[in-house]
Amino acid sequence: MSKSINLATMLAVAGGLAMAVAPAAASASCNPTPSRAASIPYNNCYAKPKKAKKVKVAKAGCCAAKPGCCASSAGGCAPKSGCCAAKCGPKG
Amino acid sequence: MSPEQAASALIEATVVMHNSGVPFMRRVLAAADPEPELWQHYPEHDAVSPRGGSRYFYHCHPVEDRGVDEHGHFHLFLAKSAMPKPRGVAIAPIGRKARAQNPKVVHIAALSINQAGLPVSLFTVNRWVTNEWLYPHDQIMAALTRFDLTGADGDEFVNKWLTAFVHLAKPTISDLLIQRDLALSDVDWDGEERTLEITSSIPVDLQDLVEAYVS
Repeated sequence: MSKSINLATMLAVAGGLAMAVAPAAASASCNPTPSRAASIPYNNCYAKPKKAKKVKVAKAGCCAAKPGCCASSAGGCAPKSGCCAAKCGPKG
Repeated sequence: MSPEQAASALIEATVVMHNSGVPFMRRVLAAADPEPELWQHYPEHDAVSPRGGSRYFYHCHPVEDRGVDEHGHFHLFLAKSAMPKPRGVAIAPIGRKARAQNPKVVHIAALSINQAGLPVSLFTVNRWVTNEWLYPHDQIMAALTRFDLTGADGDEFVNKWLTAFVHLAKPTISDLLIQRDLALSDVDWDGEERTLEITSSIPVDLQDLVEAYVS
């Protein structure tokens, strides 16, 4: 393969891509009808603002970092009942 | 797939598509006639590999969401079943119904495409955006070798191109996911913080990526 190949030239669409338009059956905003939401299984219109109920996990080492809140499990660490799950997340 | 193999595969797919007169994004949007619809997935039911469940779809957001420069973006996924075992080190999708009905996906990154049809950046999103199974950086990177769209719905050369791209862009994806995890750990590791949608973003120069691995 040669470095002389210009990928942008080969990938570019002559005249540019057509602009996206709002679907006839739903608003262009992020507010789909229930039927449309059902047809789009996952995008940011789908997800509803619910509070997270359960978090299973955490990164190795989290138990040591939060001994009062995390317990060992087969997959690593998991929050104990009643604990704040977010405390078991990776800390970077 | 090594970076060298990925670079060669990406060039080959690009050349084939160009020489056929139907470039990459024309193929992605082949079903969008005369123009794509906002939010609609292309392909309609996603491209999903029959082996391993690697998945992508392309869609467009309203301009007020993404600005005038972006036409749309690819969401790239691994199947949850492709993740390293033991599983369980993940944040589950919210809602029993969602867990039962949605495909069990792990979001790798999104690839932003400009109005000319060229890739311009990679970005990650918060867990709630795709209602994915959220895995930390190291586990996604360990599973990324399994990303392969061979045999998936949609255009054969688009699938080859995206497969090669993901393998070629692994270092960038790794950086993105590290940044994402840091952003989430600062805010909400559950991935439910609705004010945080884009968790990290890095510009992509495809020519530079490829030239690093071809002679």
